Amino acid sequence: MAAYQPIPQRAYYKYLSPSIIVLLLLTVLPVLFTLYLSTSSLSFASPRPERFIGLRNYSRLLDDARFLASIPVSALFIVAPVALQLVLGFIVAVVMNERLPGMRWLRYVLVAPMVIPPIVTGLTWRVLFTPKLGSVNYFLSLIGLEGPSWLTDANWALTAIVIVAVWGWTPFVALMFLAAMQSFPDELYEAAVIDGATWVQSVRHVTLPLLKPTFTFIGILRTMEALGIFPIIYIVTAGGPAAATETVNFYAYVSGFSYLKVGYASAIIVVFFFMLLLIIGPMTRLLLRNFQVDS
Amino acid sequence: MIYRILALLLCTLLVIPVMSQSDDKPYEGTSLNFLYLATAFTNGLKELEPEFEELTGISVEFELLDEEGSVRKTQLELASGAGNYDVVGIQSGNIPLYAENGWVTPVENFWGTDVSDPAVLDVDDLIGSTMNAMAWDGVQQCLPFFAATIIMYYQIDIFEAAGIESPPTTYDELLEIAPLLHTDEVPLIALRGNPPAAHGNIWHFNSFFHGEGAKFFVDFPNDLTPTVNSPEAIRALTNFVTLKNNYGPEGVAAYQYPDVTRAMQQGTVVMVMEGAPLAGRIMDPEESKVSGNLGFAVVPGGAAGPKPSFAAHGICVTADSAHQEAAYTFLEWALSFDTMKKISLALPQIAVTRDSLWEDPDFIAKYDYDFGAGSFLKAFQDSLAAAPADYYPAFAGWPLMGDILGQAVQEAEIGARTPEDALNHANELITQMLEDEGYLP
Repeated sequence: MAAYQPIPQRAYYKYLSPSIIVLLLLTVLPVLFTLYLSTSSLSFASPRPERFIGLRNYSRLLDDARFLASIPVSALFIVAPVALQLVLGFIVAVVMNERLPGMRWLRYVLVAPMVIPPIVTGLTWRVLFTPKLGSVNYFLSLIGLEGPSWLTDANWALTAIVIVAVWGWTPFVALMFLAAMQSFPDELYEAAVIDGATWVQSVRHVTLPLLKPTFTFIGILRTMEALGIFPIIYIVTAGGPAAATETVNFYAYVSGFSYLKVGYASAIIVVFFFMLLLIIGPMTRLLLRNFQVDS
Repeated sequence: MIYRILALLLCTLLVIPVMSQSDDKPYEGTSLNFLYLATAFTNGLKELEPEFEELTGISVEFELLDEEGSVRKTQLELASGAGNYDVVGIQSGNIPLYAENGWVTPVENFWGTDVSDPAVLDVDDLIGSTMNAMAWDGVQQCLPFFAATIIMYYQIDIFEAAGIESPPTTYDELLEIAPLLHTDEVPLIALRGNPPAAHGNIWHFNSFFHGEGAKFFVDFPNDLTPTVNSPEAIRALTNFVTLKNNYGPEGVAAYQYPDVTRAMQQGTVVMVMEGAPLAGRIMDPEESKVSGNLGFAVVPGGAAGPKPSFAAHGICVTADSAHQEAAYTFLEWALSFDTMKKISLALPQIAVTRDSLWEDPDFIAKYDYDFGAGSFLKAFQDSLAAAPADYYPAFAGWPLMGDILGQAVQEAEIGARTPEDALNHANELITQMLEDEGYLP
């Protein structure tokens, strides 16, 4: 029997090289090309030929009120839905973990929003939010509330997007929490009962501390996904009314594909990219630290 | 030896398709890709495609999308130069953009060549205004299949009950009778509000804008200094916003054209100013609650008289298509009298672009709705005649400028700005945009 021969270091690179090349082609090159475009005047709506304009697209962004307004909207669409999804998802998971009758069916129902394509979700909610036609205001009227103009009032349009995002992803969060909870040993809860803990105290002092890594993991996962929110906005409000629900990436889309200002849109995307790095960088470190602790 | 046999076999395989092409089907075996908006006409083309394939041996794959999606995808595809689509549709407002960027092959390039059959196309029969809308810099770029304008649709019985004998001809008249016709249950009017773009609310707002005699520029195309905040423009936007906010259904600022069409079809509003080509849908016998109770008229006007919206839709051969001649063959067949008539009789395709079809007895028999308050076809033709040819200014910056104006209209509608503030702001943004894009020094 031949003795074990360790694989030389160079061989790792050789085996990995096809993946690295594909990764470079699909990620790094487009980023570099976008960087290049962001310094050009390329615009299909302009009679002037494309030329290098340095950082002028970036300096224009500082004076672009629509771009500046899209930054807090992006922040809102990250913070509000993710926070609500975590809170509601946790509550739903705790209830489902109680093995009450009908919980199995509830799980099937909860999967539904996750498998419906975002376009269908958006179209459905757009109709639901439409006064007279949709049923949201009808149900509000049953409890004596006058429904707002969801899609034509800036604040309510923002709320509408948050509601759709929460509706779409809370079940996912709940199922993730539930999966984690079901791995917790029963002995911990039995000990809490013996110590005289109520159900609420068990949840607070046993479940919540055990769920902390899961909270972090899901929070990061959902934040990353929320950064790219697009189809819901596109379908439900199209960024309106009067650009009130436009996020940074949506404005980049409008600039590039509606206004055909390719150079300017690229500059927005580059700025957005660095914003993402600022958020995702620390989160990734946190995530890795969590995994190290777990392992 | 085996290599020789294989080489011979390969040569034979290469020759077979060439041999199988007969003289009357020179492009047999070619497959074309078509991209545009799903309309009655394009749906009709898709249904008739087997006939075209049998006739020419050319097959066509159709990709028909919604309005926003089709415009964006077409522009992305053409700008990328990928050549994935051989034939694309176009709205007349985009002709300068597509022509200046060299995205389409002018149809004129095919005229007088072997591929062209003047008898099939019969250019002189295509409505002049729609042909002009598909031309740029004196060169015919694409061919029109759709002549769009708006007319006023109104519920006859509600007008009669309010003691109003004829539809309003001016905005002042309309605002005067509005309180008599409007109720919370059945609001007076629905107009498009979304998307806030050249192909959205601006489609309607421009009618008010031109109707008041407002101009987009000091002197188009010599001086492109924008004037969208003129007193006439402010009056137009004030009327537009007053009508929608005071006499429109709740949430009308978010209405897209299917919402407006549905509101009229279901009788949930008294009137709409909407596309004449949508009459078939509004009066769909299976779904309409107002068919038999509709009056038709040219839209009201302001100081400059009625100026109904105008746009032509057409189809073009893409510059990057690898099948130029086959694509043009398809265009000629699609625009032929026979194809256009078949589609208009089989589907609700009213906005035909052939003079002879407007006079065709079968066409008239199908579409001349008249429920006692005037002929639909007359209202349609009068509107086409009154529609300004420069409804959208013909320059490549228009889609961008129209979108800025669309945002301003929506801002005024939702009360974020007054009409005057919104248009002043829009004028500043448009000036900046025109400077950035090189239209202004």
